[in-house]
Amino acid sequence: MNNRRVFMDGIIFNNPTFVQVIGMCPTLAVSNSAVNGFGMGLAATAVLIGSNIVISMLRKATPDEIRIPIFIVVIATFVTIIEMIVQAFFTPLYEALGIFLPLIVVNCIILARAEAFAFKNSVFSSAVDGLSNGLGFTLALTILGVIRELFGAGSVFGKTVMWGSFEPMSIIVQPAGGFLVLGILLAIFSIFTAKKASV
Amino acid sequence: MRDIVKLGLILFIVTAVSAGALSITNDITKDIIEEKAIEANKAYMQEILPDAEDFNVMEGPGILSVKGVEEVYEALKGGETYAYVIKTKTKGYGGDVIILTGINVDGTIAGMRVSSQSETPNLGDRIAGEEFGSQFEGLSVERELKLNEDVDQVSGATVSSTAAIGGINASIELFNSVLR
Amino acid sequence: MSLFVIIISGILINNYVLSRILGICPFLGVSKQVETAFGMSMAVTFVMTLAGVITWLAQTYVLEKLGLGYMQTVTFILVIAALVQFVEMVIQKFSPTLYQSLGIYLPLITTNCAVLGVSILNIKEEFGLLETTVNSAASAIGFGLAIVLFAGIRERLELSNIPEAFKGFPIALFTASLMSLAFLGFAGLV
Repeated sequence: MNNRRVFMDGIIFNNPTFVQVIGMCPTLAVSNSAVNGFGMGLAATAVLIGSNIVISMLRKATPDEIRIPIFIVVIATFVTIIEMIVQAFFTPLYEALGIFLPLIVVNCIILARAEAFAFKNSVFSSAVDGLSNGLGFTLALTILGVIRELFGAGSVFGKTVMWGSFEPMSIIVQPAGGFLVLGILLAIFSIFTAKKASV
Repeated sequence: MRDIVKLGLILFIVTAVSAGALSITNDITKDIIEEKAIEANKAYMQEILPDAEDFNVMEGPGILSVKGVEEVYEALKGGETYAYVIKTKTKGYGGDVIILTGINVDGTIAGMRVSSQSETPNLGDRIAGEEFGSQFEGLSVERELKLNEDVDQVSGATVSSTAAIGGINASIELFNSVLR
Repeated sequence: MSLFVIIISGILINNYVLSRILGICPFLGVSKQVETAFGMSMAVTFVMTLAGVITWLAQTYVLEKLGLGYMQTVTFILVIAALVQFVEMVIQKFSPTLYQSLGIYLPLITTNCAVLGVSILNIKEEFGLLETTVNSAASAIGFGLAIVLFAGIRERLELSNIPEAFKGFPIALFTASLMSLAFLGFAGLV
């Protein structure tokens, strides 16, 4: 497959969050601020690239029967490495993401990419696929994070942007707000795709 | 049967390589993580007690006897202990709230800093702000502090405020029962 | 913490789906009908309680003893995957009827983040074995409660006239949002 096509697929046409609607737990849980969403996205991207590359390298040596356990071990290893790096060098982010950092292991996006792409394609294509899906995920989380932080806290990436008398709607940064904002975004997305289909 | 052995062996090798990679990363990052944690504490402690020349970790029986107390430091000035800093961990709305409370030997609170929390942004996380934290400065530790009596809570964030004052009260209890 | 508080907190206050946001994939995916939602919640309760206990034992008696704390994530996810496989085989062998009703949900549970989530949280909260067991079961029941209630609402939504753009995930997410708001009311309970 054409690598440019692979790249665009992951970010837009087959965006993990807006099109495939998978990996919802971190999407909803850590998108309460732009920084958290962005940080989580990058951490997941790093894991995705690493696991896609290794799984693609091992694909000839991996027996079909135990491919899932092997995927899981590879993914869990990368998750733990990223977790330690984030803890050592980005301590505030580590504390903000909390339990959702180790939970990248069970992020369906990563296992799905391993199974659907890396196990069948070359190392380079798999790396591109990991990068693009990771960036698509990061994009979605950052958009959600910016919107929720803007309305829920009146700021973007920690900088206050709303006027002085703006009273933040704190419900937006809570779980209920996460469901709500994602619902609205998906509805808008489906309006656009529906229009395209009818034209 | 041979298949199972072969599959098991492959899985074992993959896991062993993974364990090796993790142990190397762990070795590299472990010291940095520890150093950062101590450094972060030191920065907060220096903010609470600007006069302190040195901080020592306190150890011994009873030091961690109060629930929630994680670490205790003594602050030295001119070779003498003039205050204590007590690190506590309590449950907030979004997770653990870690607080450093400075208590002077004369029984007044020197100050408090929230060193780690994951409360709701712009609501519960205001317990880490100046407005809430500065209320504690100079209060006596004769008795337990009460929310909305000795200090005002962060409005709309009762759980976070309760967690914060709970940590400070644990420090007070430790000071009165052990350190004093 | 008393066991009662753990139970109330696991089911209502810190509901895994609606307040901690764990296990959203099955929550959205397997909630079109009350019956399947109930089957899923049963399977999850069973696996989650068992997984909580076994990972606690692995952490306490293996990882901590050997100083291998950094292998936690790898070990836990392998234990959970193996456990799910094992439970599937046992149920298939001994109770084909139960297998027919639960079997299809079992493979999905490995990637249910609520299961790994409860295992990690038990360790983080420094629970003992009894507390771990109770907390795992209570959290799983909380998950079940949320998904069954949600499925009940979605069944009714099927019959109502929803604008085209809101069909499917958007309306489901709005419903979840309102449920999460309602569960927020439990926050001051303990």
